[in-house]
Amino acid sequence: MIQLFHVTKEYPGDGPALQDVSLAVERGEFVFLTGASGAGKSTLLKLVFCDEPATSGQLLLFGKNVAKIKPSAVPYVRRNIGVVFQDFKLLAGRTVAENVALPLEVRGLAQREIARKVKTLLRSVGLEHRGDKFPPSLSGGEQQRVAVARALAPDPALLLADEPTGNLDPERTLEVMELLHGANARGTTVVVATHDRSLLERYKRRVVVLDRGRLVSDGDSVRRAALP
Amino acid sequence: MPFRPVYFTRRALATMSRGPYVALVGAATVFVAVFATGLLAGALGGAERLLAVWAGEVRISLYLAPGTDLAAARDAAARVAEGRVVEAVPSAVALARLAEALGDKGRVLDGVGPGVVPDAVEVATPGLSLEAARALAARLRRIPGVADVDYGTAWLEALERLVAGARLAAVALFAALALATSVLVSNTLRLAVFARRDEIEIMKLVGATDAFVAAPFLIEGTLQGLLGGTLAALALVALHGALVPRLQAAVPLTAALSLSDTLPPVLLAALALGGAAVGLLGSALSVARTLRRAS
Repeated sequence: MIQLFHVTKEYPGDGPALQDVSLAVERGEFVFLTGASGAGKSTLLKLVFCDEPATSGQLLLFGKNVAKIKPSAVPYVRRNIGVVFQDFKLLAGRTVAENVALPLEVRGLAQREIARKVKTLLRSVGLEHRGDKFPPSLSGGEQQRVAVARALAPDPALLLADEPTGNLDPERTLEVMELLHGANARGTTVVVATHDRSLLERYKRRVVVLDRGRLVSDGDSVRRAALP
Repeated sequence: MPFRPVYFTRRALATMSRGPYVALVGAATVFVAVFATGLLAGALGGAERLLAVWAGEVRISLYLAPGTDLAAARDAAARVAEGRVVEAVPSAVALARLAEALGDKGRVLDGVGPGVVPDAVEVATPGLSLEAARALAARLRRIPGVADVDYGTAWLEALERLVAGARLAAVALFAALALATSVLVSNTLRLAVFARRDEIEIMKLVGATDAFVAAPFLIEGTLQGLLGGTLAALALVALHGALVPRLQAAVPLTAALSLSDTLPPVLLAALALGGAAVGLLGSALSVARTLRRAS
C-alpha cells in the first residue's frame, strides 16, 4: 500500500523534516505513527497524500511511484485516501452535512445516496443533530469529529489521520478510535499520527516512531512499551 | 469529471445566497462597466440616427447662370435625380419665397428686382443620407448652366464631422473604459475568489479536479455578470425614458429619436450578455490563478 525507500524531505532554510526514512505499510494494516512535535509525522503524511514531493528517495503509493504521478492525476489518487487533518480543514461556509458530503460529491455520487451516507456517518460520530450547523459554531471536538466523518465518507482504501483525537475528551477519543478501527476492519488501511501514548498502550497495533525526522523504531505496541 | 450543470448551478446559487454581499459587489462592478459602455453606445447611436434623419430632410438647390433655360435645366435635373421631386423656381418666385421667409423684415426687399436672385431648380431628397445627397449634388453640378449648388448642409456636415470625431473618441474611450473595467471587474472577482482560497485548497485535498473546483466559480461569475449587465440595460432604458422626452421638448429637432434608435433590443441583449461574458472571463482568470497557486 505505502512504500518509502530512503525518503528525505527538506524545506528551504530548515533542516531536514524527514531523513532517509524507509518504511512499508501493507494493505489492511493499522499503524500508529508517533514521535514528539517536529518529529516529521505530519510531513510523512503530506508526502503520502501527494501534498508535497519528497526531496530524495522513492515513495510508492498503491504500487505507483508518487513522483511520476501527473498533477492532473493527483485528484484521482486522493480519492482513494481519506485524511483527517490536524487543523480539520472544514469549509466554514458549508454546513456540517455539506462538509461530510463533499468527498462524495467530488466522486459524483447520486444526491440520495450522499444524503443516506451523510446521515449514517453523522450518527456514527454523534453529530446527527448538528448537520445543518456551520463549523465555526461547533466546538473543537465536534469539528474534529466532522473531519473524521468526512475522511471516512468515501470508504477510502487508505485513511491518514493527523492527531485525530487531539481535541477530544477520553470518551470521544474512544468513539473516534472505534470508528477508525471499524474502517480498518472493513479493509481500510489506517495510519494514525499521534503523540498520545495512552492510545499506543491501549491499542496493540504496529507503532512507527520518528525522532527528528529519522525512523527510530518500527514494531508493535508491546515492543514499543518495552523500549526505554 | 462528469458534467453536472444542475449540481454546479445549485452550488453557485447556494454560495451566492449565503454571501450576497460579495455577489452584489461583483454584480455592481459589472453594472458600472456595462452601464458606461451602454451609455456611450446609446449616445452614439442616437447621434447617428439624428444625423440620418436630418440629412433626409435636405433639399438640393441648383442656381442657374443668367440666360440658362430653366425648363431644360429642370428636365436635366429630373433625369439625374430620377424618381425625386424636381421643381423649377423662377427668380421671381424665389424672391417671393425669400420675402415670405423673412416675414416682417421682408420689406427690405421692396424695390429689389427679380433679376437679383437667379433662377433655380430644387430637388427634394427625403430619406437620402448625407453622403448620398453629396454624391447627387456633385452629379447635378455637372448639368450645363448650373452656376452653383447648395444643399444647405454646412451645419449638417459640421455635425457629421462632430459625430465622426465622437465615434473616434468613443473607440478610444471605449478601449480605455474596457481596460479599466476589465481590471476593475477582474480585481473584484479575484478578491472574491482569493477570499475563498481555503475552500479551493480543501476541495483539492478531498480529490476535486480543477474543473470541479472551478465550475461553481465560473457559474457565479456568469450569473453576477448577467445580473449586473441586465440591471445596467434596464437602467439605460429608464434613463432614456427620463431624459429623451425632456430633450425632445427642449430641442424639437430631436423629435425623431426613439428608444429603438438609441438602445435597440440587439444592443440591450448584447449589454446583458456582455456583462455575463465579462463575469465569466473575470472569474475564469481569477480561479485559474488561485488553482495554479493551490497546486
